[in-house]
Amino acid sequence: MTEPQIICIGCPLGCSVTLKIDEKGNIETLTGNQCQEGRMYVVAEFQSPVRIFTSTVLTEKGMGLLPVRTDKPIHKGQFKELMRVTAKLRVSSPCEPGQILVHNVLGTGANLIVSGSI
Amino acid sequence: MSERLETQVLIIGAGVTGLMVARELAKYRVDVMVVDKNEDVGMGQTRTSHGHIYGAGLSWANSLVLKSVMLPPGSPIYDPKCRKLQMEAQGFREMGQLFDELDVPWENQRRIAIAFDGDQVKNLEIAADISRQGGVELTWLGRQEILAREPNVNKNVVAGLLDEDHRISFYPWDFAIALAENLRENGVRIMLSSDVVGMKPLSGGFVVDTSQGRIRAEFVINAAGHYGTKIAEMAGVRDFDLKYTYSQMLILDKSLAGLIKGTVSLAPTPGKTSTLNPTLSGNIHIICARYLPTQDREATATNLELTKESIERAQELVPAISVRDVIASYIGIRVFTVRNPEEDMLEVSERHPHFLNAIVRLPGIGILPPAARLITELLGNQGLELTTRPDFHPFRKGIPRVSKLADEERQKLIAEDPRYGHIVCRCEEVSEGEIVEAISRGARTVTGIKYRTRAGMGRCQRGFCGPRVVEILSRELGVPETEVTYKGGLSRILLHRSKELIGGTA
Amino acid sequence: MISGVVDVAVVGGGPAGLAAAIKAKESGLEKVVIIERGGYLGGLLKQCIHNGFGLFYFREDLTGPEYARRFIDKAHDLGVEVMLGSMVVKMRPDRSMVVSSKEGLSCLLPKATVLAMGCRERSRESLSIPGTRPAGIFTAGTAQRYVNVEGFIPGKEVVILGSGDVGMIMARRLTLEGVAVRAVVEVLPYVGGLIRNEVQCLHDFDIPLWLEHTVTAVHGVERVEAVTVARVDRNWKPIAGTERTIACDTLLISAGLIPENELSRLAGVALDPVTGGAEIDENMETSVAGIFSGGNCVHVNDLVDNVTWEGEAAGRSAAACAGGRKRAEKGRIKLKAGRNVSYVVPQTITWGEEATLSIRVKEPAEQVRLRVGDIPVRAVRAVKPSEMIKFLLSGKEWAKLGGEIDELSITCDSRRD
Repeated sequence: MTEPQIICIGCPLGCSVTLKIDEKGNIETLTGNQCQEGRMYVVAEFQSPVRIFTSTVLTEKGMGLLPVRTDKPIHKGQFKELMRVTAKLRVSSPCEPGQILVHNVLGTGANLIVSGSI
Repeated sequence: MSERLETQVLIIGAGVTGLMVARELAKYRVDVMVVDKNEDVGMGQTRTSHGHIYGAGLSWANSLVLKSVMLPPGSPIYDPKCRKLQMEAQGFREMGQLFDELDVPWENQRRIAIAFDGDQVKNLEIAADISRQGGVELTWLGRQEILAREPNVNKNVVAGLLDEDHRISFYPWDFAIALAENLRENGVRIMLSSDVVGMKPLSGGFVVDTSQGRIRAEFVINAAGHYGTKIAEMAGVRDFDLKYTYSQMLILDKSLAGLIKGTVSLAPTPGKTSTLNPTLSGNIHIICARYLPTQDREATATNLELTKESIERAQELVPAISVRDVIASYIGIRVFTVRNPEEDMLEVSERHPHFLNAIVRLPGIGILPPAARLITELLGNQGLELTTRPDFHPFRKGIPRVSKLADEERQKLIAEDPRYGHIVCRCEEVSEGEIVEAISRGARTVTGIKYRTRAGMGRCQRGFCGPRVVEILSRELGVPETEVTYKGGLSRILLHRSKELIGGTA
Repeated sequence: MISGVVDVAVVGGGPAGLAAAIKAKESGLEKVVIIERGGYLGGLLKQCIHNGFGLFYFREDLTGPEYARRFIDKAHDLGVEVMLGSMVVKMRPDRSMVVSSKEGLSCLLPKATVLAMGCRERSRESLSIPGTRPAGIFTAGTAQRYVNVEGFIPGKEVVILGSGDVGMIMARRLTLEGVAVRAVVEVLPYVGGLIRNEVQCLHDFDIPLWLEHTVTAVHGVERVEAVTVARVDRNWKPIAGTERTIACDTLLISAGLIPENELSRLAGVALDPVTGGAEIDENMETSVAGIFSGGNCVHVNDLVDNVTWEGEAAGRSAAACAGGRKRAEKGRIKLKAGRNVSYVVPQTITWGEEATLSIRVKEPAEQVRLRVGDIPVRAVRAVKPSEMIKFLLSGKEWAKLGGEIDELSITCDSRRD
């Protein structure tokens, strides 16, 4: 039995919600939320804490930095690895926002896409 | 890097003192070199000087009275006939023309010292008397008359002394930079980032070792300000001590321009001083001088208590001032010679006929025209041949400041060089053209740009122009942005490139 | 080079200015110009490469550049004219302005003007943080520009003063770029920005958050070497004996934004001392007829979506003004910030006219009711100073308020009262 705490970000209240998790990893109880939306957020966040990843990618000389993002949220635990991957990327020609740089990056099911112009 | 250089007169210290001596010598057929350990001229006491010159009159009398109330009873105070004050009065008469020759902006500034109680009025009476002895009759003002001239002053004021004519306001770094540019045009070598590390008498003169090479000089002028003792020590001629004190100053936002029209200061009062000066750029400069002792010649750290005290004192004079108006604060080291605290050291050393001390104490800049002539005369007495140079060029034109140009002139300048139309520092309205020109005139750092153009001196304190200035420095100097420094040495601004820390080098 | 008479001149090409220009052009005006002092449109959005923009305006989760792109493209398609690298250097109450750029000085005579200059950050100096003056001190926004646009990382070990949104965003950004963020130091007992950022920037990356602390000294001669941090009491005064020194090579300051109104001042526009921005009415018009203002230069917003809506309102009104509409002289009501309200924008409204009010509260509170005068307008579960509250005053409320009013107070009270 573990009792992780998750802060709900749905409204300025920022309820600190305590979950009771059984040995199988299922949520037994959930206390501290003041609304249903909060409950749904906390459950989702516990089961799969995902975020949109955003960063920059280096381009060839004189082209500046290219802002990039994943087109879908990915597990937050993969950010560090993804940073190392994007650090090695180089873009050498002009690209359009929305253009896919890496398909299914790190097997996340999300694409790394261009999110700005140079 | 060990160049072997030779010169007749080596001036150690490129503050305004050293540079003024160099300017005087440049009028003769004398080979002169100036060295300084800093990466730019005027980065010692000059940089944090108050930026005022006064002749006889209120400011001078005020400082005498201040000493008499702040020093222990019985301490000697200035003799109005002493050399320093004679020189200041003389220098004051020449300064306007000198500044005009060098295109250094300046203006006359009136000063009103105000009193709130009987004791302060008494001290003003003493100041008025001293001023009269010095030949200047000050004007007494009643409450209404003060408020008519300075409507934002504290309404509880009871009386004040007015001096309209004996104070000039300028920026001390403008003066040093202008002197240096003109000296270079007149063939005087100025070596920066050249720390003197050793000195030996040799064949009547000296061999001076610096971090940039060895220099043989017939004469050495010690104009090293608060490092004067170190230089004298190295030459084996030290026979004096220096005391260091510091005061903290604040700069207030330009939005307060017009709050006061001239300098407003508190009448001499034991334990409290406060002077509010409107600057040439429309800021208000607060000096809450306490002259605290320090052993640290390189101290730059400001102090929250001093900031609070400065604001409180300022508010007593002008209630509308608030700590929220502060845009910058800094401290300035001041030097006092122990041998004779009231005088400057303008002399041939008793320990070596070719070593001269030129160490000036606050207030100092006003004495420099006659002081430079005195040093030159002393050199002549010691055997330096002084033949006038007919081709000495006294004038220097400063960097055009677009914010001060009339529209037509500005339009013309932009047509000649479009970079003057591209504003980089928004707070002070400084163009790319001015920044590029500053670099061509010797600016190598963000601070060098700041003092030559005012870029970065505004309320956002380099928040917006910072990255642009770094980029321009990098471009014009041909160095990577990561090599651009704030003020030379190890003060790099950007330590790493993108991705460098996570395994992807650019 | 653009000069002479224009219908609407918009000063600032960030989100507020873009929105204003678009709406002004959509109203059918011929000449709408954006004057932008930087080298590109979008303002700060270009350096905000993180997501969270447009959640309300587009109901999409966009990055700053993506959000900006939508408006830049639209402005371009509509034929909005743009002057880049151009700064307004003179501005007069008659709205005439002189603009400086590499092409020279140009004099513009707009029929209506929208001021959308955004804001600047509070500097180390404006906070009177004592200590030495080394290289390595940046405001969080300037650091963000270096990291996300210029391609440089200021340092390797960073302390961030202030937990405003920019500070927290940079804490995450720097951490991802391999920097050790040693601490985020905040003088309040709660973060200054959105909870979402506290969770997704600080908690996600285990970045130490020191609440009720402040930086009391900077150390290092040429480059930052350390900062001293101390606990503060409820009056934000450092408590002696609680000082700790944190070794670092960089200090980021994220301690507040200040609306940039130098031009407003030159034009004679009345400023609100609490917001730091122009005093406006429900049409975003300032005290000077024909000069409108919106976005962060009026008051610091928390979401760019709101900045866009304000810009749009200013643009529409400016267009109407250019077309000859004059503002109402009668029925003007002054709005005052009442209990637990820090400020209300607009500061003046017209009786009977629909108005969108934006407020910020002074203190956090739960279960509150917002009132306009005596009329309750909104019940809110929780309010915090960092989260702006908007509500509409429409016919329904005017009916309850009645006529003959000079002044109205906006209050935020506990519902239990």
